[in-house]
Amino acid sequence: MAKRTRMELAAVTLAPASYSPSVSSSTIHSLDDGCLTHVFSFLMPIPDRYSIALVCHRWRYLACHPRLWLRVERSTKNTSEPGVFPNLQDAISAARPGDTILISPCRDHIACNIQIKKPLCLIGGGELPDDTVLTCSRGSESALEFLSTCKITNLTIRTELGYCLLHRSGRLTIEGCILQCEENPLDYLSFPIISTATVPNAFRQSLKEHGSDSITVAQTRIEGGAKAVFTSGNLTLQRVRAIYMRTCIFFWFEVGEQEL
Amino acid sequence: MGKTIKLISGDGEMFEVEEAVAFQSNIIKSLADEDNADDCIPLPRVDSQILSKVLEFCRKHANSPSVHTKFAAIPSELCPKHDGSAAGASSSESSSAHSETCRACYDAVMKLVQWDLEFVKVDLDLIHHLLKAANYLDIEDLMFMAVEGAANAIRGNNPEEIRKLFDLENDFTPEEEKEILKEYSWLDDPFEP
Repeated sequence: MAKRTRMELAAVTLAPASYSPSVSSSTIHSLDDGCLTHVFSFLMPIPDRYSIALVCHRWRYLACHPRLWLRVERSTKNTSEPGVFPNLQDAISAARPGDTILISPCRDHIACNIQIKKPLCLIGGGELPDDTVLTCSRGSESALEFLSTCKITNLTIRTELGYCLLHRSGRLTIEGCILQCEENPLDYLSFPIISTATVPNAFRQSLKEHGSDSITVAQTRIEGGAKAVFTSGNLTLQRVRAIYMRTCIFFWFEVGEQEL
Repeated sequence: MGKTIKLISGDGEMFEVEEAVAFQSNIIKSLADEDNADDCIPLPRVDSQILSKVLEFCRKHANSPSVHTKFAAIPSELCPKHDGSAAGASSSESSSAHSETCRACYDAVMKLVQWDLEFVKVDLDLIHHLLKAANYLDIEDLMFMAVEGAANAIRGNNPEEIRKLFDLENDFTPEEEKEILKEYSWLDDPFEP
């Protein structure tokens, strides 16, 4: 906030009719964008930020603005900025349920055994998924382990040995991503996606309000590994569609409860 | 009474307050430092009703640690129990050690937070005026609490209730609302806390 000199304040007093005493001329909804964004930053994403996005166009624009997202940026010069983290693990630890994390377009992000136990949306910040690469080094079981409903989009996840995505529970949505298992003699041990989720029996299923554990994949390239999806629980691969392009294949499929 | 500052509200009312109270505002502090102390400081953009509320806040916060911005570094001279007599209390290291373990400081800060939360339990128009005044006068703690007050009004309410509170129109078409809900479909329960 700029320091105001006495001259400036005096100038305002001299300006004609600059002061209007009536309250109705300036009410709560004449708050400017910066102020409203500040207010929204105090709210939990679930449920409040999602509620405010349904209030009106202006509020939706501000509530969904990337300014309210957490950011992962590898360069160290941003370490003092609030909401900016040098690595994905730190961002996930700091995030609140329902937050969105924007990962900067960079090809050397590290993701090793990162557990996600709250609903989060991870977005790659580049134009293409190829621009944002998370690498899981040999020695780690998986890049990302999901124990909650989440969404990932526009990212490349690459593993040297192991799994790209380990799905334990929750509804996982994968959109516009690239999952790669590096080619090596042991790549029969790696899988782009592995799910250990087990759908409960029909009675317990009816007690659950929302959909059961599942994975939904859309427009995603899957390369390498023994096979695209390995399930050790009782979920099955369904509704598989593929589009063959010149250099790659895009997949759409679901991993869920066996449909009778 | 220590040194006082005279403030004139936009509607011409004069308020005389102690320096420590007025200097909660960085703007008033820099204006008072600038030239002679006898003059009154005009605040044309704040009317008397709001200024008296602002000064009530400042009075409470004068000589108290700033709870929102510097919680970890409460100097011992502000502690209700210690009176600055502890040896080496002037170094910043011992201040932070002092505040972390001092029960009296912690209790005082908690009480102040409670008071602040009550202070902003007011109608939204008043919160709006407090926000503008805090911004204009550069009072960090009041800014924080006014934002918290506005956020509190939103918390836990559905979109229709929020619209009523803030007097806003629903300018979405049913199709647009459906699109937005579709964007949320990856979440299990976006509206369930």
